[in-house]
Amino acid sequence: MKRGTARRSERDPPCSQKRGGGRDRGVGSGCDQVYTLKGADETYRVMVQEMAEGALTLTFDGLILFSNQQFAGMLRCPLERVIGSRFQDFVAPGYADIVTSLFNGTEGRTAEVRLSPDGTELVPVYLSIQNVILDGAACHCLIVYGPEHPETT
Amino acid sequence: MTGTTPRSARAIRNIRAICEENLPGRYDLEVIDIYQHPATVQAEQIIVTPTLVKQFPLPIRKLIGDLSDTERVLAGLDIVPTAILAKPPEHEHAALK
Repeated sequence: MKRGTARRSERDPPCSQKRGGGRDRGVGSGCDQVYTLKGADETYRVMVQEMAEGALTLTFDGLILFSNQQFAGMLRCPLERVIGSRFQDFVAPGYADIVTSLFNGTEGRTAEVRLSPDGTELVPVYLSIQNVILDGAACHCLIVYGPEHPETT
Repeated sequence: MTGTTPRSARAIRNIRAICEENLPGRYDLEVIDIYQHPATVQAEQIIVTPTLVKQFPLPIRKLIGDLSDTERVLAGLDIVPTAILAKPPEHEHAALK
């Protein structure tokens, strides 16, 4: 009975969910515009999207909550396949312990590892990590850059 | 989903957990950031975000919100919870936008 009620609710138009605020953004129909209030975060969002380095937000156990296109490009993998995956799935065998140490904060905040997007090719990258609290949950913010970029301290 | 908003992050966490628990190895999840891929908005007729679009098996279903109500999400996806599952469902394909 309870399950039937839930199913009927899902078949209804999502008005109650919209009224309830269970959403982030309104999206224009008939065009490819995203309508949202312009806030101070827009500058940083655009910067993260357009920067030359890969930028990610991960849960503490490595689930990718956000990735920019540059990181997906390093992996030669569609962005929609990167977000929602585990970061460790893209790390070459033999480098998993380094990533674990980086996530745990036991080996500093930078590391050099190799990514293996398809299980064969190895892409050398540097990682720089910062732990933050987002929405009450501890997360990692990760910058990924290739060896052609000068390492900064 | 849209960028790094808390609700989008919760939606990703929740749908991954639901799929891993109820459809291990039998789902195909795409997470689309419409800030970075705005053309998806028109193609999929997305009105608000985050929206989960279940594409297969048909019929197509759209679920709005952070997907924190597991029971409603399972009902919307026509998934019988693992706990009372007698027969595996068809392979699912869903996209979070």
